[in-house]
Amino acid sequence: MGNSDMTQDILKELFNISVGRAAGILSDIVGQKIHLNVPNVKILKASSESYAIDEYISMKKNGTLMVSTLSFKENYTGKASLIFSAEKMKTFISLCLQEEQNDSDDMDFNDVDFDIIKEIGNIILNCIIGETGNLLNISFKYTLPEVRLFNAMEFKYDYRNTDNVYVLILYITFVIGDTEIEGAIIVDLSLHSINDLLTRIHKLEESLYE
Amino acid sequence: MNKLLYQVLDNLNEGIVLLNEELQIIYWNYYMEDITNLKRYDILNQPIVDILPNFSMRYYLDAFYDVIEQGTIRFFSGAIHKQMLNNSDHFNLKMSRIENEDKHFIQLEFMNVTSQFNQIKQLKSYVNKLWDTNRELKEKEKIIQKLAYHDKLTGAANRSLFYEVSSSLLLQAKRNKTLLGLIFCDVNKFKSINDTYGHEFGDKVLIHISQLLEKSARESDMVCRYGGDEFVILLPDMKDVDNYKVVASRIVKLTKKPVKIQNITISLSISGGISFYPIDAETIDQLLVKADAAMYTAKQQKGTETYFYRME
Repeated sequence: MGNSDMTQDILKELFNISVGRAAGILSDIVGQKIHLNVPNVKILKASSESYAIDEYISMKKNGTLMVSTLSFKENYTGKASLIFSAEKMKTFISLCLQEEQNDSDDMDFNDVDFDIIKEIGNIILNCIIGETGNLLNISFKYTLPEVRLFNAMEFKYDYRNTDNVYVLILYITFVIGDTEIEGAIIVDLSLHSINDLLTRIHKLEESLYE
Repeated sequence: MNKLLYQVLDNLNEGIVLLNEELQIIYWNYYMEDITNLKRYDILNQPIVDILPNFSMRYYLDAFYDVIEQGTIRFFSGAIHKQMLNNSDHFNLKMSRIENEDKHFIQLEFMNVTSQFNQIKQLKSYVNKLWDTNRELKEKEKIIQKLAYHDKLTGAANRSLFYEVSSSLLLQAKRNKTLLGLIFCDVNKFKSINDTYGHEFGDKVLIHISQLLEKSARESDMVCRYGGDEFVILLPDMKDVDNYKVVASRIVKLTKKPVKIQNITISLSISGGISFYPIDAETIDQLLVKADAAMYTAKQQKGTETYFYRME
């Protein structure tokens, strides 16, 4: 569904514009150049293509995932999650604060770390959901992200149990200094919502040929 | 009703500010007064960027724009955004849009997270102290281990380490059907050196001899101070009985020239006896007895020059 080359190219283009803006804001805030890129986008059916979703979240081998999730409200239901490996996020937090990571720092995250991830998740997800909504003339209402740690198995269990049938997956890379961090964004929309989104994408597609 | 709501907002334990679309302050609760020392009647209707200059930074202005235009909610963490309201406290900030009679307003909620910062700082300091203590303990453990297995004066293996290593080398030799050589040696006329030049000088001689033996031995060999001026060298994996002569000849060579210790030039020599498992003995104690006896013969034959002997 909706995985024609043209649909994917349009989605990729849209999301790259969005993350480009997020990267600009983040660079301003942390005072260092940050690059964000969306090299790939897919729409998958959670029930029949779950293996492909698992494959897509290739970070699962790292064990713990740090997930920032916002929920849509009112006219669109579902949620959007930004997923990174927890280990890489620890490095990212130190880079953001321009602090050296100590040997004594373990993998425990404190409330302050969670707040930093909440801010980063807020910026990236805002830009993606907000600007996509703008370009498609959809007004999404959503909450601030909640940040949680999952092990890969728990996370798989969590989203498979949702009632929503289709998921939009964005592969995202984050570059700060010499550190490159790979992650994913899963936008979990109901069939109705995703149909709406695709209809609008197809209209954009048609307008390209006019 | 309005009065009641204002009382509620003034009663909150977090900073609440309302801005209009021109970013002018239209509400500033008591908590904000406390934390900034700015009274609401002095600042109402003034642009927030004039009252809190930090908020003139581009990313805050962009955020105000997004909140007003798109209704997005923005979050700013106290860890990244230091000195948001004053120099001593840390705040998380949530920005959201309020709509009323077709007008848009921005609600700013400043949540004080200073106590979290202090607790984390304290915890980090405890963790770092524990980390340092743990590292020190590990270093001490290494020193204690070295003290338990090494001679304090020369740094060579001591008798405890010798017995531990020699029994495993003996097992290895039995399993691999190889020779295990043992050289027992001491310093010729050491008592007289001690009596003539003193114990301190004697200690320096022992350190010198220990280093000389280490230099002469192969990498896989073990030099041990057995007691007094007696040293034992274990020679594992020997293919042939005569191969010990390589080590012995290095010792001979290194003791040929006189050495200068504490400005005294002295000639030192060593007598040594050698024995082999399984040719001469089956156990480490027997090997020691055989090598000691051979050393005695060596000393009797050439007591003033470096010489090694093996009983046939």
